[in-house]
Amino acid sequence: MSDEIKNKKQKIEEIYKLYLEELEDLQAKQFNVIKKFIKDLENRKIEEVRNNLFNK
Amino acid sequence: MNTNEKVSQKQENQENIKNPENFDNKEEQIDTKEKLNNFSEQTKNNIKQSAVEANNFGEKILKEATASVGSENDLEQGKKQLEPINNEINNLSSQKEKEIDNIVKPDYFNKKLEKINNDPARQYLKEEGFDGNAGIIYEAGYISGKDKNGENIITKQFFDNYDDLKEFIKNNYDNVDNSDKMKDGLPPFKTHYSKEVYDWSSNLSPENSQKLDNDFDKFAEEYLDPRKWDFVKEKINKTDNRTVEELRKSYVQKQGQEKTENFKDYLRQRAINKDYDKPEIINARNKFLADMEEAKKLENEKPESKTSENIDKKTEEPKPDEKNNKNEDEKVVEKVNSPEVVKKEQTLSEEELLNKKEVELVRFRKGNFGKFKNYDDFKNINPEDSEKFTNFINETINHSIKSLDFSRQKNNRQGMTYPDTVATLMTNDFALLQGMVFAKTGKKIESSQIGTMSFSKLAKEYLGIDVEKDVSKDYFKYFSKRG
Repeated sequence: MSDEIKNKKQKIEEIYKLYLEELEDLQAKQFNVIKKFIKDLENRKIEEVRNNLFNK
Repeated sequence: MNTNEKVSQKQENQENIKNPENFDNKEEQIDTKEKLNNFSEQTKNNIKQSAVEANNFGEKILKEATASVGSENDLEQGKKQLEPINNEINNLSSQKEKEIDNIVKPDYFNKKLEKINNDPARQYLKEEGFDGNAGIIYEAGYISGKDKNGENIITKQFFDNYDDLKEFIKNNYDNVDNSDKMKDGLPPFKTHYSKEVYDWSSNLSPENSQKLDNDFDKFAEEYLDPRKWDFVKEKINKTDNRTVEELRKSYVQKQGQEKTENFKDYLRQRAINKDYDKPEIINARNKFLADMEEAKKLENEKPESKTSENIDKKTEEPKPDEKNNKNEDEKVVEKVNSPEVVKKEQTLSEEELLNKKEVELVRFRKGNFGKFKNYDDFKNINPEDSEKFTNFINETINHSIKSLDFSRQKNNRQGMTYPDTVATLMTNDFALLQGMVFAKTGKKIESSQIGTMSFSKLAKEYLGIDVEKDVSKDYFKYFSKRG
């Protein structure tokens, strides 16, 4: 019984570790999406400011 | 530091992901099933929580970044871009939680899945051609307490499959809302379907829609009638036994002594005269008659035993927890024995009594045989319904004889007879008769033929009823022989 429980505990830990690794990868993707979005946003804003200046 | 650099910094500093090393060190010794369960629950919680935090964290950075360079509208657009990845995170966490559940409760999801797949409502829709998401949810209420006014508080409980619903009702029988109606065949639960099902059903062709309705009747009869459930049958049986006992007591009290055969007649008379509207009494009477048959069998096996003793043995004493039900039964018995009811019966004219009986027979037919709609329904007819049918034939013939007698006197036509045809005796019951003949012999009689057939011949040949011997020796004095 105790071996069975030990094995199950180990499996749960493995799932959890694997989950954290996969979550980390997804979060990296998440940050990349945010970075790209912010970069695009900044470029857009810069462009807007530039256009405003030229128009004046 | 520009906004993107700040975002990267945030990423490095984030603390929402738990460190696996620390996770191990925190754990106590897991050496029992209970501890393993707790451990799995805690791990699942960690997974769920970290997924939520990952979502929130992404949104938080987005908010801070757009606060300096963007607007509310930009924030909303950013959120939309984040949605797919957030969904991926949520799916990942759900999948891992299930994997953990599968380790701790390996059969749980398999069984659950099996129950959902085998759900009768889902199967019914599938057979009708629906292949979408049925989204079947059963809703049952149970009494979870009393409010300050002493009224019951009903709490709703939801189930994704029929088996779990049934199990819940079985385990909470006395507290389930509307449980008292189960013995009348009313389900104490509602069934909800997805919008997809309603959209699909409203777009069916008229033929398929009709088929859906027809098949639903069969489905409802099989699965929405709680009387089909063993534990409800058991409960009804107990109640019937108690009602028979109460009626017997009332009978003995009136007669001064008990004679089982007389009691049987007394019950039959009550059922004929005034109890067709009272399912409790009818059920009790049928139960009693079934017991009588059983007792007769026992009597044949053991000649020294007496029928009434066997009946007595079969009648259980009410248990303490059934006292409330007993009180209800007593009320029913008191009501049907009340002097008002008896007096009312006595003051009706003969014609009124005959009309009343006519209505009662119709009600009895509808109440007991309305569920038989086609030949298939008659295939597995139970002995109880078969016995009811024999009684019904018996009562119908006797009623026709009484009506004819009355008509003879009223019109002063003593020799007047009716033709011995199915159309005369069972005018409204061709389908029922066709079904019973099929049930007993497998023969299908055409609707166009049955009306003109000799009733006595049909009864003898296909139903095993000799109208002269089994029903009335005067049968042929009222119904002229044909052929």
